[in-house]
Amino acid sequence: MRRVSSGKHCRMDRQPLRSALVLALLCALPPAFLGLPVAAAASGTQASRGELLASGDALLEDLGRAPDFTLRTLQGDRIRLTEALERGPVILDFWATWCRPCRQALPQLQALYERYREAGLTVLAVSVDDPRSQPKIAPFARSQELTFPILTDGEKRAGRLYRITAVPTTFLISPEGRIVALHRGYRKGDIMLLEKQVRALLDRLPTPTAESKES
Amino acid sequence: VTVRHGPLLLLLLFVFLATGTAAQELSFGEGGWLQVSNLLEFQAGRDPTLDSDELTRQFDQFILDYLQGDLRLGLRAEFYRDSIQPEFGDADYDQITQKYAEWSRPDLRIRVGNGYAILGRGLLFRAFELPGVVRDAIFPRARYAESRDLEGVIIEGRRGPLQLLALSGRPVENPDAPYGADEVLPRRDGTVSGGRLGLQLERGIVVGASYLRADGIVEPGTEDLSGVDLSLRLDPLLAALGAQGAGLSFYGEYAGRRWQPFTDGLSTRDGRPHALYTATTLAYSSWGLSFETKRYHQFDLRINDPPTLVPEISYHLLNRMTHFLLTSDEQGAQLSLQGRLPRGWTLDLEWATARNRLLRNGRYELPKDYRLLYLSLESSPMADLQLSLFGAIGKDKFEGITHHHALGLQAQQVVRDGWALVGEFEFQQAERRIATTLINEKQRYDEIFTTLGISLAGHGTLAFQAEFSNDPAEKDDPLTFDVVEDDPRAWYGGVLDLQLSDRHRVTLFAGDRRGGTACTSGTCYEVPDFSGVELRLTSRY
Repeated sequence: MRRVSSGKHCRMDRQPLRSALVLALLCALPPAFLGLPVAAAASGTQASRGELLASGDALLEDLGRAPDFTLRTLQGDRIRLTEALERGPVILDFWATWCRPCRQALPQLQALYERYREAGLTVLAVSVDDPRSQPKIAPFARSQELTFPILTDGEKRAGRLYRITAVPTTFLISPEGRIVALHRGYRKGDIMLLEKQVRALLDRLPTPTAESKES
Repeated sequence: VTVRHGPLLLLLLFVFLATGTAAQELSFGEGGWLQVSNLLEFQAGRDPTLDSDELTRQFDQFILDYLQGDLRLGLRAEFYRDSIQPEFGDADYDQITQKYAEWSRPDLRIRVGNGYAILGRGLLFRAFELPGVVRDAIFPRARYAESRDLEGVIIEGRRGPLQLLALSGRPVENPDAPYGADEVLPRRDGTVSGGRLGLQLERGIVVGASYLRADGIVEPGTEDLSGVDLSLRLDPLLAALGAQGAGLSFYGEYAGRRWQPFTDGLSTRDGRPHALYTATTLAYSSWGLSFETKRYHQFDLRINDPPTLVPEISYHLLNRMTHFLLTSDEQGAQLSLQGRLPRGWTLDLEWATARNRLLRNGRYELPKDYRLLYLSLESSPMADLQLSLFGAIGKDKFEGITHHHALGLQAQQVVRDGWALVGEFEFQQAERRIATTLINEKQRYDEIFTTLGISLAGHGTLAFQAEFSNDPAEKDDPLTFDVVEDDPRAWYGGVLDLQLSDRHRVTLFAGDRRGGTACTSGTCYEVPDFSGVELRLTSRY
């Protein structure tokens, strides 16, 4: 339970805390701002930061690896992120039924999905509604005629992997598994920026063959 | 979990610094990497419980995760400091509040340390957190992250038609949560062990049984908690009836304390501690409907969190005019209807009812009713305009509110290239009845909340907000303890929400914040009044 520290003890602890807060603030500054070099990201099959930036598109930034997860749809089917990425880029949207901006954003994502589905775009809408409010997910999805998969993450397993502290939070993930854009919150106009980012990402991908489309 | 070790945390922050400046992503070996995130909050201003204009407070939450394949290791550390003199209750701390190891495959998850889990819909057990929510403890004043974990072992798996969730451990609140932070029901001491076994009989039909052995509630010794649940998908039935494409599902759960299923059955009699919850959902064409019922009696287990069936409305005035679930005795229902209307309008209708009874002379009587009818309409009448309207009417006699009604409007207009104007206006009128042996009076009051802001997609928002109320219960400003005010109150504030980069976001609030109830993610809590400046910086790597 709670620990109450004595004033003397606290004063002794104050110094490291102050240093810690200064460090935390320093950490928040972009490395380039501090004049420090930015190293390349992970190797292996993942695309590196350098490769992404080489695309020359300022709309996209390498924000690190997209952690893999497996979640169930409302129908009980399992969807794994890495499998969805085999078809092309993924918009990963964390939302909840009680969140009004989320409800405004989802029909916009549906329109985006319809425009770029043929080009390989997948939208995964992860509901972080806890199991207590999950009965409201299906009626909402039906009323908005959402056709992309709605995944349930009541225990916030994927939510924690992606550090979700507020909804909606939307990630654009490249087929290589890199997060290339991040949107927190939703305001009218955000979807236009997201669409530009989707287009920029699709433009740097090879045109999908008929075979890959079928798969 | 409590480790009081500043130097260790300092070292971790050095790692964080190294991660942030030397490499945007810290990789280890084949496929392993570190994820770091940090939430820093700074407040300077006045506090309602202290006669001081010079309060400063800092809260920092630091989360570190190492991921490699199916393995995840992590810890969470929190710091708090304030300028309050120790004689008023010193609550400064720096602690590691969580540490965990998790191994997960698509069909199996094993977690050791601090974790989260829910049995069924939470009638018996729910361990959870509210990410991003920093709460205030009233006395001594302190800030802390909301978390109600289980410290122990959680195993979750599926194989064929079988589903298993087993858990054992100690239910804990955030160890920093000061006394009084969970004003109504603190977590219980002691340990809990048990789980749920589910069996899929056919596709769409699942039955489950839960059992927990728990100790340390009010009575000494252990007690047995158990329940059963049934989940049905009835789409084929509807198809057979000719309603192709329609969806119908049902979920029911019953739980009891010291429950003897074969002799007690699904008893809902007074004096027999129980919880009963049902949910039916129906979807057809572009319409969806859900209907849920609840009946909770003597079921404040201090480890559970059953469905509240109280609509969580995100409009400001209605969000704070909510109803707290009382599992000691509450029954009710909630209906939600959503659909599409002509000309692109979408409709959201919520209706909820609840009744609480109070224990008097050994009997449950004195019913107190809660009702809410809420209607919201949304549309984009023009491509660049988003319009939302709402109206609500209700009462909550447990809180003395005999009637309230509210209406409002929100509009977002894109002006050019990602720039948008956002405006909102809400109005509420309420009536409160105060009836005691000495007083019997009605109070009527009005409230207005309005915001005006501008946002730039991908960069942030600047908004100004104003709130007015002539609620007699709030006329006396708690921030000026020695002065008794009798005028209507007003709160003015400004919020700058700025995306510094894709990794860092800063939110600056300046002005007055009205205290009261706030609800996030289905959980409601009290927020104290605040006047001053608050800076929040969230970072992720």
